[in-house]
Amino acid sequence: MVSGSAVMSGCSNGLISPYQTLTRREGQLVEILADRIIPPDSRNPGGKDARVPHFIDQQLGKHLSDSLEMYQACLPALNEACKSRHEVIFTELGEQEQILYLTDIEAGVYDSGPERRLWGHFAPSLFFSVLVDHCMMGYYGSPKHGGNKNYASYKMLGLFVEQVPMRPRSS
Amino acid sequence: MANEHVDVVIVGAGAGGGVVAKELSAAGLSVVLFERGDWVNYSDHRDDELTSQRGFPLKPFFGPDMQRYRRVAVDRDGTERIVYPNEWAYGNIAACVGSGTVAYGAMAWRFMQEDFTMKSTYGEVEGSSLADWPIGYQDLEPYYEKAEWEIGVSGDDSKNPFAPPRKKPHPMPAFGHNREARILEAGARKAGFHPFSIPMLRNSEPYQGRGQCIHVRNCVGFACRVNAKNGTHNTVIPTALATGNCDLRVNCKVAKILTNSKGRVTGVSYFDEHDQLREQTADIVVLAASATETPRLLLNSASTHHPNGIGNKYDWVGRNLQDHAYTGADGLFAEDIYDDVGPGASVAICDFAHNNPGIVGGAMLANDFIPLPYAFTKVRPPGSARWGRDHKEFQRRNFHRRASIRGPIQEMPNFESRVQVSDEVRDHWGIPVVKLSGYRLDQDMEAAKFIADKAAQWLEAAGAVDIWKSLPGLGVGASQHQAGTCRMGDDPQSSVTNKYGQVHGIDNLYIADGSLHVTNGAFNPVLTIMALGYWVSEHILKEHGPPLPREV
Repeated sequence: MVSGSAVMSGCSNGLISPYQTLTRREGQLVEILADRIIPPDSRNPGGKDARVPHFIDQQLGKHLSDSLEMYQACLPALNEACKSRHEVIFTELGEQEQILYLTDIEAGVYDSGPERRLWGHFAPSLFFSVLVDHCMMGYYGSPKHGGNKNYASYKMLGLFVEQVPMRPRSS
Repeated sequence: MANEHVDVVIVGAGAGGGVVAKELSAAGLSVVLFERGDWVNYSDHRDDELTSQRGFPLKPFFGPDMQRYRRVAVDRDGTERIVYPNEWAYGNIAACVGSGTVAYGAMAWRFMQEDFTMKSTYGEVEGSSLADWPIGYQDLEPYYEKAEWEIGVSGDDSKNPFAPPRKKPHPMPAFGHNREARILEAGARKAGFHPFSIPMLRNSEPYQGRGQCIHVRNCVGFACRVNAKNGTHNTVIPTALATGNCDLRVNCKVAKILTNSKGRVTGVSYFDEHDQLREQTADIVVLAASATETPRLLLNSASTHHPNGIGNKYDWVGRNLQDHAYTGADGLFAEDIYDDVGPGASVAICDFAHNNPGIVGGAMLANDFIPLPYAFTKVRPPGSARWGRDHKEFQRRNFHRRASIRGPIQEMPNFESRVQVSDEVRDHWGIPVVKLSGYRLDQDMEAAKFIADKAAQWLEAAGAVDIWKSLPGLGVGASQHQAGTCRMGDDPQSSVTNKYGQVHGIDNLYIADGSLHVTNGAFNPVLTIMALGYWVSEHILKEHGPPLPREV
């Protein structure tokens, strides 16, 4: 199902957004962030492939709607604020530089200084901690909320989804 | 159409209210049992960690809902903010038939003898309104037994040298341990402690027509997949309904306690499932709405006869709010200790519940329930990476290697930790909401440090290679163990009810929930709330019927 807002954002970008609440541009940024926060490797998928961005997109329109304004203000700020120290925007950085930049945001480096105004009234480090928490929910929570595709994280932890009844040994 | 007058109205179908409903309806009294929530089922929730009662970042599946409920939390600097049911500061207790007993961890502790005599045992505590209970363990012992047998507990006190005396064993044998708990049990012995299997309101064998536990990991925070966890929703409430004398009204929000010109209680007003304001008159009203909602009702029911709220002549309603300051330690082992046998918590010690040099009170210590994958993202030694490669590697390596030992510190009651009603904020029905404020005392923190050390010592003896402690915050707690806000006592000037839960000065108003607790024990409080339900019920029947005297 494609909602009205998805069609609208699709028109403005010339492409259909796969997201309902986020614009295509916001969604692409969340995809990169989800993979930096939970990186893919040879053994298990990263945040993007586990559909963490879909979880965030779905929940920003539902149970986490209080955070939508923060995402809308902070995603473009996160992309732009990087220019002052790294010369290019976030999406144009290499993976290692992106990690260093996010580490600085987490540490509060951007909570003051000239770029602070880009973020509106949300502290960059606060936004990042909320984003990390939402990525964890999307990666480890039930797939019914849009993320954790095929219970990828449960498989990563060696957990059967539906446990077989069993008994502990008597003490 | 007006409701027919009944003998008894009970507000709240949780641990206390469910028991009272069964006792009174079985004795032949006509009962209306109000519940703000509805029946809930495992199949509607299944494995959804993000809405489970153990931690509900999206919303609490078991209620209360995020649309109609809110509260005001007052920070230590006096700042007030509105909080919602999925926030810790809200002090959530499930809103469904059975309330917390549907999704709880089901530990079935009897308080120890000292837990009823804290003032005589420890003396004056600075800043605390500490007092003894007006009843002792020996008074409640038969009612603990009744709760254990009617609702169903698996356990064996003979392995616990600190267990209070009992007349009858538990009805079901104790649970065995999973791999982690066996390692911890050996560690506890090595440290010189006295480990035993935690008594549980869960079936270790088929009991009363329901099957035995199948040991899944999603137990605490979830309804039971096979109905082997025992709460009031699958024991006493169905029994009450089967008498034909109990009318359970779900999705009904009680607004006020009604009183007459003499100050006597005549019933309650409530909003029904269509938000229509209605009245239900009764000879007796029993409040079992929790230690936050029961005082709210009393305070919201002021009248010319009760200008400060019902039962609040001496300003004790809502005071002495207690919770449990959970404390303990986590440990990582060099090898896998996880075997996916739930629910996880099964081995405990009572060595440090009391008699700790220089400490007031203490806590039972037990291994923790299995943390589910999202909850495990919060389990980290100080200074660990919260994201990135290190995060993922920690999840993969340590989910199978971690154990946690925790205990509920017995908080010292203080007069300033309290439930009030807000002057400004109202809920969906226009009723003034709960306002929570207060703090924990320094003595609680001393006890927490002591207990965390013992938890770390236990993990070390069990072979953990990386151990870190965690201590509670100083803010007031009002989570699922909330208690103490309408304490019982012999002196009407320093308590809200007499020792039978009867509100001082009002012969037909009773309380039967954790509000009554003078102190909240070094243990999970649910079995004590159930025992008090039986205790209060017996007194109601002795004093009022049947047949009940009709007011003229």
